[in-house]
Amino acid sequence: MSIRFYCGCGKHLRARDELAGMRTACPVCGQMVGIPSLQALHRGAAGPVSVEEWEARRRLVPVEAPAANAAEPATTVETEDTPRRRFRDLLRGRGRRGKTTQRRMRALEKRWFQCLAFPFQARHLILILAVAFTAMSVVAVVHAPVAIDMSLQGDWRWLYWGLIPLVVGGYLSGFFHCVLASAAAGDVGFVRWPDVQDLLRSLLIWLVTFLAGPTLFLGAALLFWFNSGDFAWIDWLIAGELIVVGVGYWLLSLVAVHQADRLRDATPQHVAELVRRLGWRILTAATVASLAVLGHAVTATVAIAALHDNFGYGLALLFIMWLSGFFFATFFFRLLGLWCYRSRVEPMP
Amino acid sequence: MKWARHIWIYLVGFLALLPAGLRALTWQEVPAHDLDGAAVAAGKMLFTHEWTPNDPLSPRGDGLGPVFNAVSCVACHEQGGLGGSGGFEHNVTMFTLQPTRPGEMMRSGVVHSQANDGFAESLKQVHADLPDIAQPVLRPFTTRSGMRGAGFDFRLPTGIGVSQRNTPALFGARLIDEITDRDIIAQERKQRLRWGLSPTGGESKPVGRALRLADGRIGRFGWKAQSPTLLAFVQAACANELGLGNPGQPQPRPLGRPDYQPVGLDLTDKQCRDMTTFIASLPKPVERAPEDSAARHEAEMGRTLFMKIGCADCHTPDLGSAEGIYSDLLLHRMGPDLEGGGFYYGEVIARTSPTAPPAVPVQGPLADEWRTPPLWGVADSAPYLHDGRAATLPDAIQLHGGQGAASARAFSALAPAAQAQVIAFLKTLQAP
Ligand code: HEC
Ligand code: HEC
Repeated sequence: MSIRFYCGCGKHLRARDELAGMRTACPVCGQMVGIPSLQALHRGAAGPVSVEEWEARRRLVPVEAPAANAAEPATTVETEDTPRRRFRDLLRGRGRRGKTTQRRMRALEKRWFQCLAFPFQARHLILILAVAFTAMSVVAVVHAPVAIDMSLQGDWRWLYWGLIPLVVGGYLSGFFHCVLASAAAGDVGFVRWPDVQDLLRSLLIWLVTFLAGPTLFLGAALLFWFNSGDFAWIDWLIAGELIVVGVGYWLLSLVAVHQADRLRDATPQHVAELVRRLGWRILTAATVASLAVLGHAVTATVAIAALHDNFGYGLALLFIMWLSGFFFATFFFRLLGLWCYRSRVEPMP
Repeated sequence: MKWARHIWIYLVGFLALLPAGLRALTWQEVPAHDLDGAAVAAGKMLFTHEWTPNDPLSPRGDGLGPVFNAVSCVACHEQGGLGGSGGFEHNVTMFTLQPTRPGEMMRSGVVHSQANDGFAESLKQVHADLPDIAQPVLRPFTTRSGMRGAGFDFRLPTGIGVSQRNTPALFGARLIDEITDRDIIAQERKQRLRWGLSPTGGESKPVGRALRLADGRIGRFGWKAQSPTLLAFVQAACANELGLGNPGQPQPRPLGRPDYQPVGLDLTDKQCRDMTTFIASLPKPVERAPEDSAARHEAEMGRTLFMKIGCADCHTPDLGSAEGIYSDLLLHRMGPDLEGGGFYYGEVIARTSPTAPPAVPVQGPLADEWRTPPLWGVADSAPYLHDGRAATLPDAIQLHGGQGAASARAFSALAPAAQAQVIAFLKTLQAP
């Protein structure tokens, strides 16, 4: 089933059920448009919101303006102002309540290579992240033995096993979370620095999607590496294959979760459903992406090993690795998010 | 049927895991097997037999000699029972000759302490400036600045190395034999990972290196981890200690008579295997906690400290199937004071590791590289270290240099009572 509705520009649109009650950008004009709901949103509402009702609400609550300032009927306030809704707004790049974010309106990318321009828009974030992660990995490598000892002895356990992974993992996932969420919502080229909410929620999503599948393959790869002695070429192939499958599956389930912002979509069925809907090209993309991850991981190990006897070289390699890693990941998440978006909201013929 | 429609994704997952599973089936395992009682008895007889020239037990060869270090295995391997460690007086003397011309290989060998008439060896035969003795006495010393070491009464000419090897105990050798190569390599990987992918064989971090032999196997027996299997070491010991040539190792030629031709092989393959079976039948050392509960507590505290100050980085309590071995069987660089070149019992041919970039050849053991000796049974195997220079356990610990220096310093920094606890723990590791 899909929901039929139309945008302010007059174009008739079709959206998938799970988008009911959400806002999205019109694939034709790029303006924000609300998607009608199928169910009563709260007690007292009569039933599915009609297109007219939705239009009325849109007029009352301008998308870019703070909702609280507008005079609006009591029935619509809650739908606009639940924490969940506010969070979603944040993700989609709209500013905090009370201030509007200036956005350059551009057309959504139509071809895959146009997405290559996207990381450049986010270049400042990427640069900062790359520098930060390079510094962090160097510290981790140099400091790791001490840290392990300290954490085993309990002095700073909470710091090493709690705070640091939380911050590092949070920023990594938070950034890509924003990229993916904004693309999946059909946002035009907007990325922003993740805030605490983003960090925590994205961390949760990454953790859940990781536990629901990739652990199996990546854990198997790790066990395999530890226990197989010196690698023959066939072992390289097997370990590489496990990593590619694990990472690729992880990417797919991240996209699956993000498309409707529902954690329970991290199951294999939902991932399979996503693949079925987007077609085999998403498998190709996920494979390419995880090959890229593999390449970066290999570079990282070379760089880290090099840190011990040629610090400058190791550092440079590590920085290049992180920079290109963030660049490609941004690109891929943008691409996958857009595909996902396009498969859900499309202009009707 | 939503399930049926999505079944393919489970199938893909299964297929993705399949190759790893199938490959794991080809992994080297050690089959469980019982030792043959008759072979054990025959081996014991050979191990304790006092060999003579033209011995009746070697009908086709020349028997003992022409050069040898003792007349029976048990002459050296005797402390704490048959197959135990050996005292200082049985140290074996080795030499190395650095190449003088480019393209030449380093030469190394043993100066045997005993010989049949006319074949006596001496250091003078290695280099004219060395004294005319076969077994110099190693003297431990302490310099005025507190530096400890061990040396000989004579000066070594440049390019010549002379060092000694103390006899280790053979208890639990079967368990060492049965550890898979995979487990030793996994240990190497763990150490690398723990120290931030640090390269193996560095001079300060305790990241050891598995010795990869020319045939791809991992060395694990001997102070330099030079032998991959117990059988190979036994064959080498027969040849080098007693002058008994066998299918695995020819007997050494006397230094002064390189033209000496043995009549035939002294030992048959079966005799070597019997001896190996006997050594494999020796029980493994035990951990004997003191009866007294206060003393037991001290030893327990000592074990905790042992883990905490980094001893367990190298002396890992368990390795694969060998529980309580307290060794990783990896080579560690132990600093210039503990140098001693040469691979006792023949050449170790290095090969390029399959994981290393092709241009970097993996070498045989360096002069300062030593296999972490298993500490099981250490209470009964004095003197300590490769040449027995340390008479006591605290000495042995304090002499750790190189990769072991940090934890030796941590040991010295402990309060005397805490040091005593560590030693008390080591004293619970006893011969069977
Ligand atoms: C002269 C004393 C001496 C005699 C005799 C002797 N050994 Fe040893 N044995 C040693 C020394 C020294 C080592 C250590 C050599 C090394 O690692 O470089 C050793 C090591 C070994 C090891 C390896 C132990 C380990 O865990 O690494 C085995 C096995 C062994 N000997 C067996 C034998 C057998 C069998 C005989 C009789 C044929 C024998 N030995 C006779 C001195 C002796
Ligand atoms: C870098 C790895 C490493 C660390 C860390 C280390 N050891 Fe050792 N240990 C060795 C090696 C290698 C030898 C053999 C050195 C030699 O023979 O020259 C050895 C020898 C010994 C010996 C003598 C064993 C024998 O049979 O001769 C004892 C005892 C010992 N270590 C105890 C300790 C204790 C206690 C600590 C912690 C303070 C410790 N080791 C830390 C590698 C290590």
